[in-house]
Amino acid sequence: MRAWFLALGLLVPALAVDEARVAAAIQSGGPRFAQAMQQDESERVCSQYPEGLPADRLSAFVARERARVVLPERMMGDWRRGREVFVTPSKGNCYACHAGEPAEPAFGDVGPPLTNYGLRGTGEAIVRYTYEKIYNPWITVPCSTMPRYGVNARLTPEEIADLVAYLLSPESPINPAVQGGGQ
Amino acid sequence: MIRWLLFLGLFLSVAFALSPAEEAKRQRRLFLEQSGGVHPGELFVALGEELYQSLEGNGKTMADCDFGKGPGVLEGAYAELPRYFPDTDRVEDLDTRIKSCLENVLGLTYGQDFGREEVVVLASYIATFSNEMPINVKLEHPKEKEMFAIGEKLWFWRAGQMDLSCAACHDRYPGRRIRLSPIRNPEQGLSDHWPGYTFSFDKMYTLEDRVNFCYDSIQIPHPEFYSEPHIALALYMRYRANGNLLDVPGFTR
Ligand code: HEC
Ligand code: HEC
Repeated sequence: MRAWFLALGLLVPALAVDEARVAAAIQSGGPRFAQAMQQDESERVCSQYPEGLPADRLSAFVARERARVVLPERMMGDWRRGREVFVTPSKGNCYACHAGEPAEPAFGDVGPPLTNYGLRGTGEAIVRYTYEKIYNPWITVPCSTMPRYGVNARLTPEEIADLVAYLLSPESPINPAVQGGGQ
Repeated sequence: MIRWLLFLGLFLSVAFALSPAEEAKRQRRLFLEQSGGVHPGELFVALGEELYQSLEGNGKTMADCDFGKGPGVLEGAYAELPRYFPDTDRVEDLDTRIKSCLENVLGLTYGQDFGREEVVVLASYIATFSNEMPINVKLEHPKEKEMFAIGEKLWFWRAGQMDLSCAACHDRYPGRRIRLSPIRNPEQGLSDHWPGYTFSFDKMYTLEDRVNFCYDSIQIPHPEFYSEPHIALALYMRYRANGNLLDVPGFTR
């Protein structure tokens, strides 16, 4: 990937285009498209630095993203409801990018497998990490390909807490290797 | 319909045994065996040929359309699209050029005398005259350079409820899968086999239709057909694929 970035840089060094021209092109795609293409500040810098944020941008980025997380009353919800959210295309659709229950063969591999994620236990730190990862993956991995489910209101804090339970509970079918779990 | 379903079953059962490239070849072979050797894309191409020969208006026919190699010359034209056209003073992809010729040269009205389906079959037909030719998109005219730069911006543009851009999948994770679908980058042939027949929809898709599908699947309502985002992204993807051989009509899931 880096190779073509470099190659492109050498071949076509001067192909800049001003923002107003790009905005006009986007407008020509129609109002619904143009509306959806609006960016927040973080989306803008992620687009600007596809190879990774420069070091001097990191701390402001992470601070901004961390401030956007809304916590529910309990970060561990109901794993059965979480399982529904995980598989539902209009909700989590997590199998698009992750392996999950061993019985589900149709999974993507853009993200790491989540099978037996519960081996990490249910301590406070892992519960919080998992909640934040789903609410806003960009806190720990700026510009990750994983969507900011909570920030974009694609999932509610409660739905995210249910997902946390689904990933971490020993009883959850995603955790067959966790002792006493896997139904 | 039942044949399609049977075939889908077959596909799922082999999906894990093979690499995406081998899998695609196998799909195509199985399909040809089951359909008695007819590539369904050829049916659309035949419709396009009929239309190409019969459309007329203003005392002109489609032989008066210039797809970049001169009026009536189809050989190799698609391999060099999108490109700048002096008569319309803008960069056009194949879909857009078909529309603008039918409107400007033949005097026909989109949505009345012809519509999206006609453009798709015409594109399918015209593209076959570049089959197995290397993609050869140039950035010479200032408007081509500008359109490429817009395409590059859009390719990396993260937005929508999923925060995604084309690059966040196609450049970061080529070779991996979204569910069962293999991800490719432009160099690996992302844009080489359009217009193509998509057997899961039983439809002919141009590159514009396929880009729309990706936009919709990342929760960004797709840009309108023939609009600049389409032309810019096509130019961008095709430029990165320069030298790849076109494989049209394509055959995909
Ligand atoms: C578009 C692809 C994509 C989708 C959809 C997606 N993820 Fe991810 N996920 C990733 C990627 C890439 C990573 C690794 C980078 C990171 O941590 O952000 C990741 C990381 C994670 C991690 C951290 C794993 C670890 O080992 O620390 C968890 C937990 C997770 N995802 C859960 C989910 C859940 C739950 C869903 C559904 C609500 C989901 N993901 C949907 C791409 C995706
Ligand atoms: C969530 C990841 C993801 C994003 C974001 C994405 N795509 Fe795709 N795209 C895919 C997958 C997976 C396929 C392959 C589907 C298949 O094989 O059926 C695909 C297929 C394609 C194809 C056809 C390629 C082929 O090999 O048949 C084109 C062209 C394409 N995408 C363009 C785009 C463009 C342009 C964008 C940005 C607007 C984009 N995609 C955004 C995942 C993505």
